[in-house]
Amino acid sequence: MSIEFKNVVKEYEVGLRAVDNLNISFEDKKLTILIGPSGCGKTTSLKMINRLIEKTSGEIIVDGTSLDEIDPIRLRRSIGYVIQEIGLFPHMTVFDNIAVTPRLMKWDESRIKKHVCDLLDLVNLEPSDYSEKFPAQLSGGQRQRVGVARGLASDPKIVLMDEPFGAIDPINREKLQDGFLEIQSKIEKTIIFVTHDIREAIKLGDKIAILNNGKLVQYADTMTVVQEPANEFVEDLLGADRALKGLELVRVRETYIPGGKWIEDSGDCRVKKAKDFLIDEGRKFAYVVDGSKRLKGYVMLKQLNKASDEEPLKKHLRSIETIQPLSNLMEAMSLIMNTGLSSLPVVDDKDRLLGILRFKDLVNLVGSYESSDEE
Amino acid sequence: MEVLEYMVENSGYIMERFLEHIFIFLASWSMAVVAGIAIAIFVTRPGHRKAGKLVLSITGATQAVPSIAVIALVFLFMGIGAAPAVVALFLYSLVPVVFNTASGLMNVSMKMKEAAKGMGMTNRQILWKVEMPVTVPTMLSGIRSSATINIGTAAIAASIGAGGLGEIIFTGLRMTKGPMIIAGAIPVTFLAIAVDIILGFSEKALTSKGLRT
Repeated sequence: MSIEFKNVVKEYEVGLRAVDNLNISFEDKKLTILIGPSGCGKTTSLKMINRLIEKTSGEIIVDGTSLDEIDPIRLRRSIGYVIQEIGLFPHMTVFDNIAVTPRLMKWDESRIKKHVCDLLDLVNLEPSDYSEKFPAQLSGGQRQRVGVARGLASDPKIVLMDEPFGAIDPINREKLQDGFLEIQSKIEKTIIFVTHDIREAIKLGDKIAILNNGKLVQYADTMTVVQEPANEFVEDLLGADRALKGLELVRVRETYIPGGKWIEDSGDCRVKKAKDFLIDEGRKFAYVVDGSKRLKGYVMLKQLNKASDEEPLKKHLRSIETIQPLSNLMEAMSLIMNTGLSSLPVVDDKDRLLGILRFKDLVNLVGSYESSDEE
Repeated sequence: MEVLEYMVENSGYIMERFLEHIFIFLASWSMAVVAGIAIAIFVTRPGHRKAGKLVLSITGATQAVPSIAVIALVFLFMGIGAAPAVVALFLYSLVPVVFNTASGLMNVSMKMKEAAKGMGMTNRQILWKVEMPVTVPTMLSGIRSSATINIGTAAIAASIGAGGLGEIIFTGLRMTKGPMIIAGAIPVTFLAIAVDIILGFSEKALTSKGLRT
């Protein structure tokens, strides 16, 4: 469902506008991020959608219907709401927590039971292990996943998320975000997601809306925001390393060079053959694959020069980090930095060599973001 | 030995006072529980924030007033007998119920209440499905201490003619008969301990497992 804000104003005190004439249209089945410094009106805007906060003037239209015409209790039951983990009810089991809204909507128990189990599966918690646990018995990350499941419990078309991963430590936050991306690809809801973490915004958002002092500063696709920040405020928000952050958005499969020449070693290859290959190609090193194109490692000319020609090549193989086509360039960049080579082998899930990702290309990509900065 | 002798000889009389004591306790305490919870809920509703804080400070301070003073005050207005005693005990045991329930309700986190509201609960549903269950442990411990305080204070209420086991103690005091005093004190103590144990069990049974960790 699409959500449209028309000249929406929220005044807590006369003259003090938390949200100042906001016009924005949230697209159907997209994850839109609301981001900005604290006090920018992002949470206020979010809570006006389920009428936890009543707007002062203007209009919010959900799928053609003005919010004012919908009973707030009914409205809230039809919209998912996820907040930080503290919002779970401690006296209820995981099952009962998730079942709250379906029960308010008077679904029958057998339907609720099936639905809750499906939701627990969706957030990767085994229903038989977790249904009867209490929030206090779960880790922070698990609690948050229950929170997400609870937000989806009434099968809402719209889900509002208010810094849902804010209280989680960085490592688990990454995991939750990855899990959440997977969930969103399955459920395709219209999600409005408030955060103050720009990395989270870039990672999760289809679109990003940047607010400051209650006003919309920029609203565009995530890539556009990263590449073409509307003004200095957005640039500052993105931070000095925004060019590098852009790498998180691009997958290896869009950048690597498929195919290439490699040394094939079915087990009986001698040093001589590899040396000849490297000299002919004018290269300092080369990847070695076996008969079925599985990557074995790489050899360096410098080292082979010291070896005798008839030695088996196996002895001089060095192992190397690999990357898969669906990983993002940020991960690739840090792997390349670690290995110190000028390229990274791209392999499929069976370790078959598909091609290479060149450091040069990454550098060019970062350069292209930076040059758009100077325009 | 003398105590036992007295108790056996006067078992009928002691039994009557015992039942009287239980009656005074149950009448005043059950009213205090019901009224106390109702007051606590009322003052913690949104819009009554100031009243809530006021009630908390008043009840907090009242806990320091000696029970004999409350009994004496009620006596001034209502005279002697069981009725004024019940009123005095009601007032005195109201305090821990209101104090614990109200402070429990006030400590329910805003985030949790907002989550409940955001999920589409009405104010009434938020109270009964979220706030009260979370407050149960605090509330029950208030109800429990109110019961023990009530039973002990009910003995003193005999001084304004309420009857009960306190009558045996006061008579013993006037006649300086030690065994008689003890014969009155023992059942009071037993009653208080027994009620406390029963309420302890119900506290366990009524508290969600999720709140016990």
